[in-house]
Amino acid sequence: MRLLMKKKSELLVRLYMVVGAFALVAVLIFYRVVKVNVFEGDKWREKGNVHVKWRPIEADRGDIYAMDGSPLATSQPFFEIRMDLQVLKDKLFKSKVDSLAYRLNKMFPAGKTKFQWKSFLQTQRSKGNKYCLIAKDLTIAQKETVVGFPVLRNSKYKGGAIVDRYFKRRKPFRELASRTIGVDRENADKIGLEGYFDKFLKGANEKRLMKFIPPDWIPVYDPSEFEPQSGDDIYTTIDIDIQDIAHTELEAALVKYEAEAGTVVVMEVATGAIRAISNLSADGKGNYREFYNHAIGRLSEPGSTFKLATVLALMDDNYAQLDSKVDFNKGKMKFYDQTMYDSEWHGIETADLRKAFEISSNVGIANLANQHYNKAGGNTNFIRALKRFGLLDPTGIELIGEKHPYVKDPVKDKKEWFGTTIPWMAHGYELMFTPLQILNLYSTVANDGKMMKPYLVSKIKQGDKLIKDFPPRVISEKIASSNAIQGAQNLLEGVVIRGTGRKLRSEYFGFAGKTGTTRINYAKKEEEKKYNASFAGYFPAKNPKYSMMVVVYTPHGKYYGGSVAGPVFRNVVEKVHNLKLDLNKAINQGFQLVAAANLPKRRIGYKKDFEKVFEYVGIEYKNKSKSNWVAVDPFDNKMLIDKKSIIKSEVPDVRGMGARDAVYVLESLGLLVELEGEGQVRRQSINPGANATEQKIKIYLD
Amino acid sequence: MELKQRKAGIDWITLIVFFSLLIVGWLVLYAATYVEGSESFIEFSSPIGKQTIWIFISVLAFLIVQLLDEKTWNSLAYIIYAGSIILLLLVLVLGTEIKGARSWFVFSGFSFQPSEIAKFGTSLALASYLSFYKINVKSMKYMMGAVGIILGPAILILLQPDAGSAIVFASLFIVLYRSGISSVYYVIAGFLFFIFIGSLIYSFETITLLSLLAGSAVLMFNKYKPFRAGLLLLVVASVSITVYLNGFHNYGLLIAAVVLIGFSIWYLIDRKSSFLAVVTTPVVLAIILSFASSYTFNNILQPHQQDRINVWLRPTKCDPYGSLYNIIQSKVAIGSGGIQGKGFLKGEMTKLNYVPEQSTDFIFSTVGEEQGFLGSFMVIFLFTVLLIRITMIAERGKNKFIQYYAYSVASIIFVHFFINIGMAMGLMPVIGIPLPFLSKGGSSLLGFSIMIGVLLKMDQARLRR
Repeated sequence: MRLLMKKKSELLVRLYMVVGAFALVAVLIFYRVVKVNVFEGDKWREKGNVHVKWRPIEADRGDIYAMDGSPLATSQPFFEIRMDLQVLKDKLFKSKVDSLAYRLNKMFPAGKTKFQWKSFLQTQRSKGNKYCLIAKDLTIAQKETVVGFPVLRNSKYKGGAIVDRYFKRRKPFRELASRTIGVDRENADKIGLEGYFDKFLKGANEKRLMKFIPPDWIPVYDPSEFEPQSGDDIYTTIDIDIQDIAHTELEAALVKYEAEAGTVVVMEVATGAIRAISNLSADGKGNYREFYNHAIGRLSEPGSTFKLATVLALMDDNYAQLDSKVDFNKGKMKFYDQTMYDSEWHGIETADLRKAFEISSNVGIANLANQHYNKAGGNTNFIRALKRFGLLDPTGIELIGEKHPYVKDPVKDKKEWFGTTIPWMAHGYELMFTPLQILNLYSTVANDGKMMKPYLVSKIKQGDKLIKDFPPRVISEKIASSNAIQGAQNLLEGVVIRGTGRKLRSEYFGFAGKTGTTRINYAKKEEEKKYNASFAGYFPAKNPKYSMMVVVYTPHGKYYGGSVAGPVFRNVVEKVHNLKLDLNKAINQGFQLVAAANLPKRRIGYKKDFEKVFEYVGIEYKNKSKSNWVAVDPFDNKMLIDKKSIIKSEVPDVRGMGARDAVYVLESLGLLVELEGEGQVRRQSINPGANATEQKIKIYLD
Repeated sequence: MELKQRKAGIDWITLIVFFSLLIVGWLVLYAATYVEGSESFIEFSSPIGKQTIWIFISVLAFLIVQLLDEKTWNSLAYIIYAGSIILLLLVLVLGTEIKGARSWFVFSGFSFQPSEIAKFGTSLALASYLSFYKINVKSMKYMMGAVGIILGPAILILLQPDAGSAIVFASLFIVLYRSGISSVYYVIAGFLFFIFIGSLIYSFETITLLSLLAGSAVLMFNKYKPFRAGLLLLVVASVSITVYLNGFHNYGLLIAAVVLIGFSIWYLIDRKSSFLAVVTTPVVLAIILSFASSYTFNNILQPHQQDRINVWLRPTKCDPYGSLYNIIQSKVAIGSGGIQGKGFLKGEMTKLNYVPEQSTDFIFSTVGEEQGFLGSFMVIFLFTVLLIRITMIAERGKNKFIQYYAYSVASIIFVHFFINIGMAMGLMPVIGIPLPFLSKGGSSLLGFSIMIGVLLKMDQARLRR
C-alpha cells in the first residue's frame, strides 16, 4: 500500500513537472512577446524602415505587330546573372571554381581571363558577397548557357544563381513606319502608337522592394517569383510589304529631288485601314529619317488635289456636270484685285469641266466655283458641302497630334472672308489640311461615297486573349450623290489617261488620281519659289482596293505633282500590284484552267517581268533566252520565252510591247519617240531593221 | 448493462480550441500570403487556395476518425508506424528536393511531407509499446525498445536532411519521463545541455573557471563554517576572476585550480576521498564536456551550422544582414504591431514579404504585426489551453494506451509551439519547424488534425463500462 502510494506520488510529481514545463514555456514565450512587442516596440519599429527602398520595375511592354503578325516594336528580354556566394558549400566551390572560371572566360572572351575570374570569385566569396554580378545583358539563349555552368547549374540554394530579367525595346524593321509606331521614351512624352496606346502597352508596372545588404541592394522578393502583369499587344493594320515599298519609293524620290520631307499613306478603301504610312524628313546629313508624322501633323494648303472637293461639291449641288461648259480664259483671270494663272499655258478659251479637271486648270475650276458659290448663301453652301465630305473635322486616327483642318467660315470668320476666298479655296488655297485628311476624301470617292474612319490598330490582345477589337467604322454612309461620286471617279481616271497624270499611265495596271502642285511661299515674292508636290488617288481604277496620298515637301529641280509625287505613286502602285495577286484580275480571272486559248497573246518585254507574272498566275513557261529583252508566245499550252534581239544599230521591232518598254528600248537607241493611243504597240513608223540614227519614231498603240 | 451504453461526450473545449486554431490559422495564412488586389484564396494554385483545400481534407479526416472504433488505433499502431517508416525510406529515393532537403512527395502541385505522418505513427507505436502489459520501462532492455521506436524515424528524417523535424521526435522523451523512466538520465541530459550551452555562450575557459570555483566552494563549505568559507570563497573568486578578466586567462585558471587541488589534497589526507570524488567528478566532467563543446563547435560544425547556433546564443556576433536577418525582420514585424496590431491585411512588412519564410517558419510574426500583443496572447493562450487540456485527457484516460498517446500528442505540439514561436523572437534556434494549424503546409495540418481527432475519439470511451 505504501509502495503504491509512493509510486503514485512519484507519478504525480512527474505530472507536475511536465505540466510545469508546459506552463513555464508558455510564460517564457509570453514574456518574450511582451518584451519584443511592448518594451522594445519602438526600437524594432525604427529598425524596420531604414534599409529598404522601392525600385520601379517595368512590366514586359506589349508588342506592336503588323497585320501579318510581324513585330514592328517588341520588348526583348535580357537577363542579368548574379551569384549568392555565401550559400555555396566549401566543397562545391573549391572543386568547381576552376571549371566555372574556365567556362565564364570561354563564354565572355572579351572579359576577364580564367585566372581573373577565379580570383574574382574567391575574393567576392571571402567578402561574403550575396549578390555578385556575373554577367548582364544576356539573351535568353546566353542565359540558358550560363545557368548550365558548373556551380550555377545547382539549385538556387546550393549554386547561388540569381537571375533577373529586364527589357529593351526593339524595332525589328528599324526605320519603317517608325514615327507612326512611335517611341517609348523615358522622362518624355511617348509618341506615335507607343504613346496613344501606352496604357495598354505598358502593362501593370510594379515596384520592387529592395533591401540593403552591404554592398548591394537586393530584391526582397525572388524576382522570378514576382512578375508584373505584362502589357497588351497592339495589332496594327500596317502591311509590312506595302510599308516597305512606300518607304523605299518615297526615300528614292526625296533623295532625287533633295526635298525637305515627304509622306506616303496607303489606305484600304473598303475599311479605312492604314496599310502603310511613311514619313521621312531630311536629317541634314543627306539621309531621310522618320522624325515627324507629316501625314497627320502637318497642315498645308493642298493645292490642286483639293479640286476634287470643289468639283464634287459642284456636282453634288447639281451646279455642274462633266460636260458643263467652263470658261478657261486662256489660263489667266482677275478675281477682284488678284490675278489667277494656270500653272501651264494652254491657250484654251472654253471647254468642259472634264477638261478643266484633267489639265488642272485653276482658272477653270475657280471660275465655276466663283459662279455658283461666291454669293451670299452660296459660300455657306460650299462650306456645308465640305462638311459633308468630312473635311471640316479631323479623321480621328489613333495618334496623338492630329491637326484640325483649317477652313474659314463665311459667317464666323467674316473679317477674313474676301471676294477672292471662294475662287482660291476652289483650287486648294486659303485652307489647310493634313495629307491624311485629303486622302480620306479620295478614299471615300473610291469607296463609292462611303466614308470610313482611317485607323491604324485592329485589335489589342493579351497573349491569345482579345482585349479590344477595332472593326472598321463608317463616318458617313454617303457623302454625296451617286452621280457626283461617279463623276468624280470618272474625272480622276481621266487625269491619268489624258490629263496631268498621263505620263504615269501603265497598260498593266490602272489607277486614278489627281496631281497637286502647291506654291507655298506665294506671299513672299522676293524669295525663290517653293512648292509642295502631291498626288492623291486610288488603285486599281476599277474596283479600287487601295487609296494613296503622296506629298513631297519642297522638292528641288522639278516641282510638278505629276512629275515628282506622281512617279512615287505610280511605282508604289506597280510594286503593290505585282505583290498582291488579287489585283491582277486582268490575267488571273478566277481559277480557270489555263488552256492554250486562254494564254496571253504574243508580247514583248522585259524577261523578269514575264517570269514573275507567269509564276504568279501559274502559267507554265519555258525559257529559251538568256537576254533581258524577250518575246513570249503561246506554244503547246506553255508560254515560250524566246530572245528578242535588239541590235544597237537597228531599229527594233517594238510591236507587242507596252508603251513603257517600247519607249525605253527606242530611247536607249537614241530615237525620239512620239506616242499615239493607249495599250500595246500595233504599228511603228519606222520598220524594224532600218538603221537607227537620231531620228523621230512614232508608235501607234491600241 | 445500462452503463455500457453510456458514452462520454466529446471534449468540447479541445474541440473548440482545435476549430479555433483552424480558423485563426486560415486567417493568419491568408494575411501572410496576401497580395494586394488579388483574390487569391479562390484560386487553388495560390498558397492560401491550397491551404483551404487542405483544411477541408483535414476536417474530413477528423470526421472520418470519429466514425472509426477507438480500438482500431491500438491494433493498427505498428502497421501505421511501419507504413510511415516505409514512406520515409521512399522519400529519400523518390522524393523531390526542396530547399536542399529531400522531404517531399510532389504530385500535381500538391506536396506531401511523410515526416508529418511519421509523428502520428510514432506516437501510436510508442503508446502501444509502453502500454503493453509486459513492458517495464525501468528495465534497460524495454527502455531501449522505446528509444528505438523514437530514433528510427528521427534518423531517417535526419538523412533528408531535416534536422528541425528530427528534433521534434526528441519531445517524445517527455512521454518516457512520464512513463516512469529513471530521472537520472534527464538530470544528466540537463547538465550536459547547460554545460554545452554555457561553453558556447561564454567560453571553455570561463566554464572551467566557474567549475573549479564551484568545486572549491563545495569543499570549502564542507570544511569551514559558512562565514569563513564564504569569506575565503569571496577572496579566491574575486582574485582569480579579476586576473582572468584582465587578460591573464591562464593565471586566473591556475589560481582557481591550485585552490581546488590544495583542498583536494587536504581531503585526501583526511581520508575523505569518497566525498572528494562526488565533488570533483562533475567538475572534471564539466571541464571535459566544455572543451568538447568548444572543440566541436569550432572544428567540426559547418559554418552554416555555427551560424544557426550563433544566431541563437550569440546574436551580437552575427551579421545583421546575413544570418541574423530573418530574426531581426521577424522581431521588427512583431515589435511594430504594438498592443493592438496594425489590423488584418494591414501589416506592411507582412504584405511586402519583408520577413523571409513568413508563411512557414515565421508565421507568428504575421500575428505579431497585424494582431499585435493581443493577438499574440490569444494564440499563445489557445496553445496553452490545448496542451493543458490534452494533459488532462491523458490523466483521466482509463487505459495506458490513451495516456501515452495523449502525452505524445501533447509533447509534439508543445515542441512545435515552443520552438516555432520561440524562434520567431530569437528565443530558440531557427530550425524550421511549422507552427501547428498556422504555418503553411498541408501535411502538417492533416497530421495534427488526425492526431487530435484520434485523441478525442479515444477520450470519448472513458465512461464506458
